[in-house]
Amino acid sequence: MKHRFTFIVAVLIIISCFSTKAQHGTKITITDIDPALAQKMEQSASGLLTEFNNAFYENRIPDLKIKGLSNEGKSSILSMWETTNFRCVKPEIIEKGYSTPTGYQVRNIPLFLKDMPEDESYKEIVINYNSKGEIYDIYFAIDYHHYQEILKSEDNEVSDLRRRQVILDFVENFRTAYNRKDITFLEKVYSDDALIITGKVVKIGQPSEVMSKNLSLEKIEYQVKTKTQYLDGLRKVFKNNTKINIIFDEIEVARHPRYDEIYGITLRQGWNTTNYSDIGYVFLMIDFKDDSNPIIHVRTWQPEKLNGNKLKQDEIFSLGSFEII
Amino acid sequence: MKKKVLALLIAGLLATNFVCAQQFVSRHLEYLYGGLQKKCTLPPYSGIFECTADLPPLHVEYEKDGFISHLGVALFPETMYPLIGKTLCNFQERFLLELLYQADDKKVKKLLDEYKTELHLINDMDVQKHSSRNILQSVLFARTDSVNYTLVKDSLSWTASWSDDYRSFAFRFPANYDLIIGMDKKEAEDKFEDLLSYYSCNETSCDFLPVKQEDLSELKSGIFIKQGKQLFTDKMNSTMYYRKDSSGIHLLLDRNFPEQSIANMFLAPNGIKDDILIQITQKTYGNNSKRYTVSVAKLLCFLKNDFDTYFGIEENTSGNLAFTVIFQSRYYNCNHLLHVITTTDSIFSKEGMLTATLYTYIPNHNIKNLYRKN
Repeated sequence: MKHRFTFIVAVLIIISCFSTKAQHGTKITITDIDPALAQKMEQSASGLLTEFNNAFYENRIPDLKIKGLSNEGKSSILSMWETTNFRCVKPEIIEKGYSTPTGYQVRNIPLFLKDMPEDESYKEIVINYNSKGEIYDIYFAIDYHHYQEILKSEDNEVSDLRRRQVILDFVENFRTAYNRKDITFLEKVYSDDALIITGKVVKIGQPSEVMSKNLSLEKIEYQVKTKTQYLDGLRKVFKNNTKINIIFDEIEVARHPRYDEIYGITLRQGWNTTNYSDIGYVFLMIDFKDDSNPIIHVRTWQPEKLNGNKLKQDEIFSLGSFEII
Repeated sequence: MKKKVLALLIAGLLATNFVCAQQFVSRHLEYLYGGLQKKCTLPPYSGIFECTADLPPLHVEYEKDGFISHLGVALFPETMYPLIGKTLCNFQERFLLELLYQADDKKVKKLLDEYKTELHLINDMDVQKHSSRNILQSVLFARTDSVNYTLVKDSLSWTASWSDDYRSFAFRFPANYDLIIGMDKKEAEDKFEDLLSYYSCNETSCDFLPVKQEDLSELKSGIFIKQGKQLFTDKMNSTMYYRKDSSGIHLLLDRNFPEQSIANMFLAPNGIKDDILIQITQKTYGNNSKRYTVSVAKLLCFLKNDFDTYFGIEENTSGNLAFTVIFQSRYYNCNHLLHVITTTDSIFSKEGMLTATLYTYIPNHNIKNLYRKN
C-alpha cells in the first residue's frame, strides 16, 4: 500500500497569551517577526485560543468566525475538536515567530485535553500561518516522551541500532551521489511529490537606526521547489563544476513518534564546488518502509549562520516542523 | 629520414596511448592526476620520480592490472609501511602533493578547510601563510633523514609530526575513511570482496587469548562472563562467556547456550570452526548488491587487525536466531555491519551455512546524536 504524505510546513514564531476578555481569555505575543504582521497574527491566535477556552467551559463547538482564520484553518480545528475538546492552560504566552517557506509558525502552545488519561491530557499545538498572517492549520506537536516509552517497551535495542546504522549508510550513499554527480540515484531516492525547500540569505535594509549605523540585517528567503525543478537546477550545477565535494557532519537521527518507518535526519552540510562553497543545515525526512529503497519526502536547506550567529537548534527544521497527514 | 619520422610518430602514438589509457583505482586519484598532468608525465612503473623543480620527488604506484593506485610526494620509505600502515602513509603523501600544486594561497586554504585539516609549518609560520612555497619547505624538512616522526590518533583525528631539535612540522587530519583511503563509498565497497577473497590469513590455533580468573564474573552456576566494551547500547558489546570445570576455564561453545556461544564465535580468536560458511549479500551503492560465500573464520581473520568487534542478539525464539555484528574501524571511524538470520542447527552442525546482509564503510565520525529526541 502506498503511503500518501502531505506535509504542512511548520514555522517558528513567538507568541504570548495575555488574558483578554472574561476569565477564560488567552493572549499571545509573537516576537522576532515584522511587528505589523505579528500584531495581526497575535489577534487571530489570541481570539482563537480564547474561543477554545469559552467553548470548552460552555461545552459547545467553537464559533470560528474569527478574523484571520482561513477556511482551511476552520476545517482543521473542527476536525481536532471532534476528537477531543481542549483549552489553553495559560492566560499569557510569549513565543518566537519563525518564518517558513509557506508563511510563519508559532509553537509550544500548551493545551489541556478533555477526557484523556492523566499522562496524555496536556499537549502542545503548533499554529501555521500563511504569508498574509492568516491561520491555515493547527496540529498537535509530537509527543516524544510517549514515543520513548513505546520504543523501550516494544523495540529491541539492537534492531533499532542496526536500523540507525543502515540509515547512516543510506545518508552516506546520498552524499556520494552528489559527489559523483549521479542524477539517476537522486531521481530514484526523491519522492515524486517531494517537498524541497531551499533557502538563501538576503540582506534587508532597515530604515532609521540600522541604516544610520551602516548595518544591514539578514533574513532567510525560502523557496519551495518540486522534484523536477530541484533536479533540473542540480543538473546545471553538476555541469558547471568539474569537482563537487559535499561533506556531512553533526548528523542527528530521529524516529517519528507515530510512524515507525519515518526518520528525520538533520546534518551540517559543507558544499564545496569548483566555483562556490557554503555551509548550511540540511533536514531530510526519509521513509524507510522498504530498507532497500528509502524515499526522501522532504529536503530543506538553511544557512549555518544568520546575522553572524549560528542558527539555534529550534530554528533548524526537524520532524516537528512537518505534519504527515 | 622517413624511418626516423615513422619511429617518432609511433613513439608519439604510444606515449599518447599511455596517457589516454591511464586508469585509476579512484576518481580522486584521477582528479589529482589531472592537476599533475600539466606539470609532468608519470613513469610507466611503480617508484619514485622527479617531476618538476618546484616539487619534491614523487611516488607513483600501479596495481597488477595497470591501474594507478597511488600518487603523492615521496615521504616514507617502505620500511615504514609495517609501522605506520601503508594506507596512512599513502594518504599523507597524497594530500601533501595535492596541497603543493594548488595554484594560489586561497586554494590552499580552501582545500585545508574543505577537508578539516590543519598544518603547523616549520618555523612557526603563520597559519594564514599556507602557501605552496611554505608547505614545500616543510615537506622537504619532513623528507630529511634526521627527523623524528610520530603519528597519534585521538577519537576523531590523526596528528602526524616531523621534528628535530629545532623545528617541527605537524599535520592534523580527520580519521575519515574516504579521506584517508582516497576512495568514495562506491569505490571502497566495490573493492571489499576482492580484498577479502585475496586476503591471506595467517591465524593459527596458537592465537588464543588466555583468560584470567580475576577478569571473570559468574553469570550462573559454572558460567562466567568477561565483560567487554559497549557500542551505543549495552546490548551491543564485546562480552565473552566461559565455562569453568575441573580442567580449567574454557570458552563456552554449547548449543544449550546459543546466544552466548555465538557471541564467542564472533568475538574470540579461533572461536568459530573453519567449516562454517556465510553467504553474504553485500549492499552496495545505488541500491545494488553482491552475493558471495566465505568462511566465517576468514571474514573474522580479515577484519581482526583493524576492527573492534561487537555482537548483539536481536531474536532467539524456537531455534531461530537473528543477530548483528558490528566491526568498528580502529583507524577510520567507520563500521561494517553484518546482520545474520539463522538457526541454532546451522551454527552447531557440521558444514553449517549462515546467511547475512553486510553493509560496509558506514561513517561514524560525523554523528552528533544517533538518538535525537526529535
